[in-house]
Amino acid sequence: MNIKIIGLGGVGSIFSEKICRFLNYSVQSETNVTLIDGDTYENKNLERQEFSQFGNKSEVKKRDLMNKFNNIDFESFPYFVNRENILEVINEEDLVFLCVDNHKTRQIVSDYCKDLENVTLINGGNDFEDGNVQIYLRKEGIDLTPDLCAYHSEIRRAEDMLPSEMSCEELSQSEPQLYFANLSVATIMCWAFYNVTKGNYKYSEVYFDIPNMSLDSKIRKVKK
Amino acid sequence: MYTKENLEEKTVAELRSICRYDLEISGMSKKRKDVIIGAILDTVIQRQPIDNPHPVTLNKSQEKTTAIEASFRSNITKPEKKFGDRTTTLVKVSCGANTGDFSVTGKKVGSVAEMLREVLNVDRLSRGIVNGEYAEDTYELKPGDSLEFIKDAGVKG
Repeated sequence: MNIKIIGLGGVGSIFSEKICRFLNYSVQSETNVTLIDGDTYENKNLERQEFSQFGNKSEVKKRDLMNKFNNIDFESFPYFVNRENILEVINEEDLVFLCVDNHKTRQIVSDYCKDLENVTLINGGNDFEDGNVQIYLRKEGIDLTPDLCAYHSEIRRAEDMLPSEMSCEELSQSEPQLYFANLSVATIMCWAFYNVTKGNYKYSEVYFDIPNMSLDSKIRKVKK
Repeated sequence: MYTKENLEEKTVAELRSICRYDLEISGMSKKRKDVIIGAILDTVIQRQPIDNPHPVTLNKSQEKTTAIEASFRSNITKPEKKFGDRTTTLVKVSCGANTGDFSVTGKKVGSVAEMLREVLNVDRLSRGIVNGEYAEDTYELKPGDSLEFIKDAGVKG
């Protein structure tokens, strides 16, 4: 199983720990996990992100996970994903977890996966106190669930910038986020992974709302 | 059998339910507990059967029905059904994680968006999806439909 985790911020740094524990102890097949992020772990990330030391997030996380889980092969890709390098990142049959903080990357990854024959893409995102997880499954060139943009025009027409297009100052100015919202997304992404491995993809999107203590799963038809 | 003691052990809501459904006593929805108990006891006394001087044993099929336990959940009657043929007319409406069953059968998707905008936090630009597929604002909701207003995906991570 080839797993790609794109984005190692508030969601990705938590999610990678949880999914690797499961893969290491509960999954028999050979597993390769590639950690992808061009960002640096620094002081401002301490309140929400889980790393053992400062440095490039993909490299630090790779070292952290290698020390804990020796049944998994780890690789790092210390760059932000863009239209040029995505060919090096995602391949046929991959299981991709998208934990980024901008819609532009979501659009690029979703569009790229749409051109593959077999791929599974699980995307998570949050605002301050709520968020969602989407499951995009493609088998033998046919969409089994809608792609990330199908019901989300805000992703299809993403107007934000890729992290690789932003200046250092822009990158350092991020909106406040709630640790528990990141944690909720990471947990629901784990549920999505578990369901997909069981062949259950009835619900292709899940929303949660912390103030209302609510969660709702959605059935969406694939657009023809 | 109702007695003052066992009625006093019940909550006001239970007493009101007895008035409304068991004894069909009206006007008790805002009365105090002691007033409701008094009304129940008075009614029970008034309705006590007089000893029948000519008792008759009925066949099984003719036996009087003493109680029916039933639960109905209906607000309006389906226009195409016969008068009195009641049916569920609720539609599941959701936006993001917020969801509820609302009596909006026959209403158009666009008007439901306006009606529930604040309740479900529906965005002005949000499109309606009925039973998993995009629907026009003019689509008229049918009983059992599931209507979702798309909430934007979370940006951060």
